[in-house]
Amino acid sequence: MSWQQTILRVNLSSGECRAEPLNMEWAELYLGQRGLGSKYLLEEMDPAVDALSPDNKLIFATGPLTGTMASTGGRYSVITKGALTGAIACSNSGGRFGAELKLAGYDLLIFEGAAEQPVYLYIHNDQVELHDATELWGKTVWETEPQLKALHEDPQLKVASIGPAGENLCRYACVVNDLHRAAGRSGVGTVMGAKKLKAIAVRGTKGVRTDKDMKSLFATINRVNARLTDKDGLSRDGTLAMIDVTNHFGSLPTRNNLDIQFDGADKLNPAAMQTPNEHGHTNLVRNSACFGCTIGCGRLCHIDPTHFSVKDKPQYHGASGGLEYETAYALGSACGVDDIDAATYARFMCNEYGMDPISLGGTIAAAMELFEAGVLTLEDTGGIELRFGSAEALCELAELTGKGEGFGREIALGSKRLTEKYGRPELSMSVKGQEFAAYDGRSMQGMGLGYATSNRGACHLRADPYGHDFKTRETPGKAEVVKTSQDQIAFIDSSGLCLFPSGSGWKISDYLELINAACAGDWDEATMREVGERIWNLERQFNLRAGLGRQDDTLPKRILEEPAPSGVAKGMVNQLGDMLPEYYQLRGWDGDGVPKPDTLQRLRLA
Amino acid sequence: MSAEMQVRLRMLGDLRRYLPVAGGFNDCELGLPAGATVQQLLERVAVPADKAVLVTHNGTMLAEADYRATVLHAQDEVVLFPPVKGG
Repeated sequence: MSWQQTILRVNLSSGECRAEPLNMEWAELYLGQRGLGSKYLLEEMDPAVDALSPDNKLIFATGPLTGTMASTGGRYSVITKGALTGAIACSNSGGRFGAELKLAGYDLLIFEGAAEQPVYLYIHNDQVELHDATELWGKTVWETEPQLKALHEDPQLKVASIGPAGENLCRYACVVNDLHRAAGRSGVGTVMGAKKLKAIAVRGTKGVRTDKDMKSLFATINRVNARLTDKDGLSRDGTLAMIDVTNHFGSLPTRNNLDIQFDGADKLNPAAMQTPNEHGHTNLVRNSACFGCTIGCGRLCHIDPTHFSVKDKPQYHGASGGLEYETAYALGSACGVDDIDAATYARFMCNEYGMDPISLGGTIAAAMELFEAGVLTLEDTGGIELRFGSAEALCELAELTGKGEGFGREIALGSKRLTEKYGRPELSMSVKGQEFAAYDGRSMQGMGLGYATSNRGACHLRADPYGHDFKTRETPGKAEVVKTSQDQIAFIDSSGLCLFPSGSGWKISDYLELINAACAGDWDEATMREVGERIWNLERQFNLRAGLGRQDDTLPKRILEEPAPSGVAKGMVNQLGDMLPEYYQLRGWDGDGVPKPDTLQRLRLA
Repeated sequence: MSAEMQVRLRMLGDLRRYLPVAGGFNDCELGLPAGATVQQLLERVAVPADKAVLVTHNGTMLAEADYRATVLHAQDEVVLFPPVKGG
């Protein structure tokens, strides 16, 4: 379908729920999902407000292709002011929730205000009700979802909820849907917790619709889906395949970026996941796919029942979302941990309690460095020997953080607030307060620029300099690659589709073919570039009004001043000072990173 | 026929599907004529032309221009990997 042309506005302070027409002029300028949600956010709130105040808004946004059978057409985004970053937050998730929301008849949900007592939102097409959630408050994601299905006697109900981490305002709490898919980054679940919104339970049975011809849309979907035929790529090894590449190359952040190659990578890679261990246990159960997806990159995994983390906890002997590349880095190499079962257990804690595993791992890694430097003591950590490589410390802290207990309350601050509190802010491997993804900015110079300029803080999914970075460490050309890919990704993130088909057989023309078959208007590559650039600049406007600026477009001292210790870039630091001015110029921004008036006018943002 | 030598070949990421002979998860011992070059190894491996491939030889990144001039020796390690995005 294309747009449902309806948004649902829920005032949590008053309890009023109201359907409104979608602003179609904005839909044509911002497409949907990330772009459209960001437009509503900037129009409706003051970016300077406290992210945890009732004045912040929380938007769940689908794209025009969400809910179609176009491959990967199940995406939705959660857009708000991030509790971790203070910047605009837009976290994207798959699973089945987003498609169900669209099938219920809504392009966007907008939550405003805050409830006095915990509530959840129940949607069954036009039936929309806020219910008391006092009984659910304190429950994990894995308890909440089945309880809501039982309560409403509907096993097909799709649920997005927060766990105790969101309730306890862990700064990087996420929104989890379908038990282990998550809008993970920037603390969007924290904002949901501050609003005392426990869950959204949705059932949608309305038919699909399109602005164009339905038969033609389905024929296009069949034709374009057939171009995703790679069965030996992401479906076989998942994104985890990347760990062998970055470890060999020298861009796998290890021990809080003290190293960029990890001698334990062979114990976390696809071979380790797919090969029986000494007890005959294989970590991987099978791959899994989100709504409509024909790739299936997800990893359903289970932990060796004899492993120390679960040997007395049979409730964790089943399968859940396991390690992907980013989690293998954050809960593995970043902490120096080479125990795949321990890292999987920490990932399960993230699924169950609702935490972003990248920020959790990055914060534990920073705490490990603080401990090894003698800044943190056993007294501080509650007796936990917080040393790099300790699988026991990783598992214990993941659980404590999820529950909001003991030293986990400090880990819940995120690495920026934690290291500032203990007087060593330079040990936070973050940008705008958000922890690094799984690439080092010294061997991947463009990724460093991408981290520094990402509107939501350090992120591997906001720019695509991978090919350029693997080929050369020379910086000329990187600003353009980063800028161009940022705009293209902003567009795809607004469509309802995933980024991964672009690495599995689709070109941008395939995305456009689908959008043109579903949506009114003509969507060509020039439109794509313009819409993407408009979205990027709109996000920048939000951040500038929130008080962020050029000073936040930077990288930690370790990446700018400490030479890469090994790998192809041994001896190099990130050359951000060379790339950033060129990047600003290409963006049409002034030397302070502020969009010039003619840039805003060209993009219809003035 | 020239004498054969064995080199160690690793094919990382989704390139492992193109391993030319059975071996480990993503590696194998590959027999090549003595004096073979990296270019000849790549021709033997036959990764489709539309797939970008990067090469290291004994841990050093090679520029494409050096493939023909880089002569392999017994027990050398060649690693092929794709310059693609990850998760």
